[in-house]
Amino acid sequence: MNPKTRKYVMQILRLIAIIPMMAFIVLPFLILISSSLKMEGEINSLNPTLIPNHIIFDNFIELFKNKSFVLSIKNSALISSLTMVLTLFVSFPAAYIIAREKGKAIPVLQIWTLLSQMIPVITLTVPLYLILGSLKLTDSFPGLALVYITWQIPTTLWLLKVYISSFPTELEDAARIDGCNTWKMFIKIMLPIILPGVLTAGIFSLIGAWNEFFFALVFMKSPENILVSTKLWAFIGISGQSRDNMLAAASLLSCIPGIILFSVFQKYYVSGLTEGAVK
Amino acid sequence: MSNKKRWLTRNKQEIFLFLLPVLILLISLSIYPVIRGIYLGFTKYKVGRGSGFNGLENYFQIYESGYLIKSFENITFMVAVSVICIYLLSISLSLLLNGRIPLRGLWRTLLIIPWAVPPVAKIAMWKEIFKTMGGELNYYLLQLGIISERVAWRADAKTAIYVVITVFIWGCIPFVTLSFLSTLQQIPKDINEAAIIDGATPLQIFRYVTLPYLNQTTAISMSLVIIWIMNDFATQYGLGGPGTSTLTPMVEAYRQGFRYGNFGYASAYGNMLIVVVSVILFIYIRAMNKRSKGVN
Repeated sequence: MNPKTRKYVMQILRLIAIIPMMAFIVLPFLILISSSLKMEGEINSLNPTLIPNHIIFDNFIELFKNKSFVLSIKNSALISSLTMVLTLFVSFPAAYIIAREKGKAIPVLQIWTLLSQMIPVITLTVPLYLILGSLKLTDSFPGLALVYITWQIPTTLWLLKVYISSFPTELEDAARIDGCNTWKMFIKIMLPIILPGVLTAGIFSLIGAWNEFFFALVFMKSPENILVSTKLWAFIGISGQSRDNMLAAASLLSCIPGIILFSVFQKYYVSGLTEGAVK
Repeated sequence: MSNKKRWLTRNKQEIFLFLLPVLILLISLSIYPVIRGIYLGFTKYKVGRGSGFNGLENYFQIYESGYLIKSFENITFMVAVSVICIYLLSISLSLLLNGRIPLRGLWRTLLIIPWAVPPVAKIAMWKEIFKTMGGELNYYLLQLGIISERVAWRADAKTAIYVVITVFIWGCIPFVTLSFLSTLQQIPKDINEAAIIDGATPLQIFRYVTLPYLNQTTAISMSLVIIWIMNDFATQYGLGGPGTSTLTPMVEAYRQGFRYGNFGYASAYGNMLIVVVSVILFIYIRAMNKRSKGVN
C-alpha cells in the first residue's frame, strides 16, 4: 500500500470509529427535536420515526399560550441575569485582590474554593433552608439569588483571577498616576481589555442558574415563583404518555440559552473548570 | 510613604473592602452552613419537634432502616460503571479528534450538545427514549433483532440502574473529552517525533508518552465526575427505578429531609457522603503522586 492510500484508509477507519460514539451523543437530542414536532397520535405510535410523518408546531404554540410556562421562562431569565450581574459585581474586586496581593487570607480562600466543590449538596441544603427561613427569604427571588451567587462565586473568582493576572500592571500604574481611583481604573482601563474573560465568567454563572434544579425545587414552592427547571419537573410529573410531545417541546426550549452560549464560549469553559479545580 | 508609592499601592482598607462582599457571602452561605450541616447530622432535628444532640444515634437508625447499605451499594455501582465508560469513551474520542479525521470541526461542535441540555430536560429526553411502548430504544433494538420482545427498561429493577448510568455517561462526555483534548494538544510534537525515531510503536507512544501526559487531567476530571454523580439529584430521582433498585444516598437524604422533615437524618447522609468523597480523593491523590514519582 502506498503512503497516500494508507493515509486515506486510516482516515476512513477513524471515521468508522467515531460515528457510533457521536451517534450516542447526537441521536438522543435529534429524538428530542423530532418528538417536539410530533402530533399526539404520532408520539404514542409503536413505530417511532426520526423524521415525523406530520411536522407540526402546535406544541410550541400551546406552550406560549400556557401562562405558567411563560412565567417560568420570565422568572428563570430574571434570576439567571440577576445571578450573573451580582456574581460578577461582588467577585470582580475580590478577584483583583487575589490576582495582585499575596496576603495570608488568599490561600485560605483558595482552599475553600476547592473544598466547596467537594461538599455534598445535601449538607448545604438543610442549613440553607433554615437560614433562609429565619431571614424570611425562602420561596423568594432574593433568597434564591443569594444562594446562587454564593454557589457561583468560586468558579467566577478563579476565572476572573486568571484574566486579571494577564492584565499588565504597568497600564494599571499609569492609570493611577493619571489620577484614577481603583474603581475608575476597573471600569475605564481594565474592563474594556479583559471584557471577553468577564463575559465568559458571567455566562457560566448565567447558565448555571438557568439549569439549576435542586435548590429551586427545595426553596421555591409557590406557583408564581415557578422556574423553567421546576416547570419541566412538573410537566414530567403530570405527563401521561399523551403529553410527551409537549414535554419534548418545553425541554427543547429550555436548551436554547445553553446551546447559543456554549457554542460561542465552549473553549473557555473547560479551562475555567479545571483552573478552579487545580489552583 | 512617598507620594508616588501611595498612588501605586493599595491600602489595607481597600483590600478589606474589596474582599468583604465575597467573604460575607462565603462565610454566611457557604462555610457556616457546611459547619451547621455537619453538626445537624449529630442531632435529632425534626421539623416541628425541635432538635437536640444525639451523637451517633442517626447513623445507627439509618443503618437499621436497611437503606444505608443499599443506597451506598447503588451509588458505588453507578459511579464505578460511569467512570469506566466515561474514561474509555472520552479518551477514544479525544484521541480521534486530536488526529487527522474528516469533519473534525463538526464533531467538536456536536460534542457540546449534552452540555447545553439542562438536567431536567435530560430526564424528559431519556424518558421518551427508554419508554417501553413506542420508545426509540426498544423500537430500534427490535428492528435490529437484538431483542425479541419489548424490555421495560425503567420498570425492571435489573435494568433501571443502567438507565440512570446512561444519562450520567451522556452528560459527562463533553467535559471530560474536551479536557483530554486540550491536554493532548499541549504535548510537544518533538516528543512524539523522538519516540518515533527511537522506533516506538504507536501503542508504546500511547502507553509511555500520551498516558503519562494525561495523568493530571485524568485525576482532576474523574474526581469532578465522581463528585457530580454523587451530588446529582435530578437524574437519580427523576429516572429512578422501582423500589430501592436505584435508591442513592442523595435521594434518600432528600426524602428524609424534605418529605418527612427529618433534617437530622438528611444531614447524617451528607456527613457520610463527605467521608466517602474525602476517602476517594485521598486515595486518588496518593495514587497520582506515587505514579508521577515512578515516571520521574
